[in-house]
Amino acid sequence: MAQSGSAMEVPADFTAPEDFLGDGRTPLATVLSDMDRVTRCMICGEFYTQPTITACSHTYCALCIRQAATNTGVCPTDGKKIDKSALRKNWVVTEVVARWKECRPQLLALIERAKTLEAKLLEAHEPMSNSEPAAANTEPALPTSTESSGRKKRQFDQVDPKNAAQPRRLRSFGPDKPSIYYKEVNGESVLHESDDEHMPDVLDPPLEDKFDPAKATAACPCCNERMKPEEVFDHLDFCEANGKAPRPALPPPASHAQPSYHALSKQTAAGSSRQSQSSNTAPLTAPGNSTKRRRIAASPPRLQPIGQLNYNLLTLPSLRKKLNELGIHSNGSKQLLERRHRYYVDLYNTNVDADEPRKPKDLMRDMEVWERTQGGMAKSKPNEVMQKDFNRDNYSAANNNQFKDLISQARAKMAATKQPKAETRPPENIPESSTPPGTPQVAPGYLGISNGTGSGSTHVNSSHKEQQQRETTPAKAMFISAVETTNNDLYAPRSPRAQQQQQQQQWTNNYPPSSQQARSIPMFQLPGDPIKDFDYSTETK
Amino acid sequence: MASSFAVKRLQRELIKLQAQTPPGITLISANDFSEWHLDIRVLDDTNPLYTNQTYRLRFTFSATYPIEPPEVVFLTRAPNGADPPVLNDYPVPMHPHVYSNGIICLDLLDKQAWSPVHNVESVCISLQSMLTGNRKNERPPNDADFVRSNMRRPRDISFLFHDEKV
Repeated sequence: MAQSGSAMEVPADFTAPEDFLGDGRTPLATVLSDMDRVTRCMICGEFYTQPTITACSHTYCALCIRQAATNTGVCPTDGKKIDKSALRKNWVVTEVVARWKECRPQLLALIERAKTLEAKLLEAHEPMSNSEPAAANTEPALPTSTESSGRKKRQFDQVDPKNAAQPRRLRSFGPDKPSIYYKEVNGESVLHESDDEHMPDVLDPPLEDKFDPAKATAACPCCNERMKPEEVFDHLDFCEANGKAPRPALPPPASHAQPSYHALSKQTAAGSSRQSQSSNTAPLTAPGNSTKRRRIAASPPRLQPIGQLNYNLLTLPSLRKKLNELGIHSNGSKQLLERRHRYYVDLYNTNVDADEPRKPKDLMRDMEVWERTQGGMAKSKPNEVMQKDFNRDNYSAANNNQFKDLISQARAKMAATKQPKAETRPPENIPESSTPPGTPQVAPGYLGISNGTGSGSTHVNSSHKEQQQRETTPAKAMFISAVETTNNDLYAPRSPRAQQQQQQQQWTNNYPPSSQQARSIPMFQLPGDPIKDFDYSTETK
Repeated sequence: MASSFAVKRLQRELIKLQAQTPPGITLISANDFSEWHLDIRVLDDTNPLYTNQTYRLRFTFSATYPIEPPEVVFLTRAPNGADPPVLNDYPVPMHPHVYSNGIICLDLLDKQAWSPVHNVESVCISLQSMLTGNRKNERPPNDADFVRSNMRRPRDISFLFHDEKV
């Protein structure tokens, strides 16, 4: 296990649902971890990018589901058929993921702080627990359960109205009295002193965001000017920066410019409903706001998705032409062109659905990455030996076992068939380097077959020679065997010697091919069937 | 080798596996993103076929993982094992759908039944359960022929999945 991690470092920005399970599976940690998990795509494991919902109501990243659908055509979760044209953006999930990504690091930091605080508290308790051994047993348990969960919930408090289920004392305290809150939880006045020093910087940041009717302002998504939330929509109609910002879909994410949660939730709720409806490009008559004009004016010209092609009906040149029209590479075999086109269609159509479509240049960069990793320039394993910088020694060292193994198997087989002179070669003569990794496994069966067919005592010598020839290189061996089999088909049962002679004759006869054989039809003779001239026939009309 | 898409996903899985694996599954080696080795054990001790046996699985990932399935076989010998090589360094479990050269006939690992939501861990668990549910001490019917003549990689073999019971 230790070696397994050596090659790969954990990237700095790596996040996983397990991040929350640091201190075991407490109920809250499990819920948070699950929350994190449901905001991630089942295919790529990352947070949803462009969450897209299928007809069977499963959500994936747009590109993930398009690629999966291209491959199998069914939903990865339940195996139902997927119609790519029925894929729709999932706005709610977009919002949820954006919010979750935003609060996640804060949440983790909060948990971390809570833990260190807890440790400090326990230290502070030490002298007391010594004097009161009976109380010491129950005391540490109290902060761990209520305090940590209470604090994390505390942040939800601003978002989640369901928090009414919290213990009464947590809600009863004002936002500007963290120390008292803490004191009450622990029920000790001694703690109050020590808390005062660090409590404010623990709980202050989230508390700043707490809804405060006096200060409640919302920023204009275009010009960032702050005003009352109710005024935003009216302001937008006259906002000068409006024309420049095409789609203010999400409110600005920065924590300081953020409006209060109250206003925010109002705004995003309105925003998401607007967006979801406007995705159908139907103008909206939403009650209570006047955003209609703005939306219509601001929405950019909509890109049209590319349709799928029926590759079977296309010839290579016409497919090449299609690719050229799309501006992507058109070199390679038809199969490669198909794969390239499929990927591009997925990429492009994903982009069509995107909130903020990427530039064609970026798509082309993605195509190049694809080309390098999966397309025509991808290095596939069997071609390793064909590489220019192929290291012969390393390769033969790495596969030495297999080669030796195969040789021993071959020897055993030869001994078993009781050939008088079991010809074996020293291992170092094997031209292993020219053998792709797949072929060595082939060899035993192949040798077995050739031994089986080469029966008859008179033939032993020649077959033996053949064997030698055959083993020079696998490629040559395969060629020889192929020639043999075709010859065997052509010149059915004869004695091997005669067969060989016949074969030689045939070759000498045919090369160079005599002119006699080439023209079998006499020159001056009318063919049996009458000739019909189609060019002038009236029937063709 | 693998695309960034595959690498990202595999990295995610690897970190998870390194942190914790389900019972009976051990990560042996994952030195790159193209080939991993894992050990699986059948947890059901009442099944005499697999008691005290550990089987080594080799996962080979293509650049299109997880859109396309990984290639999964039971390893029969260590890749750089003892010299002279010992045949069958690792046992291959007896199962009517597992050939003696380690190739597994399981629809989950085939292109059609594979789904990108599966992962290394879930494949291991599926194989564990496939073995656990088996009581037949036998190989597939054409095992000898297949093992002798097969020169294809598992992904290129078109299996016929007929047995619904496994």
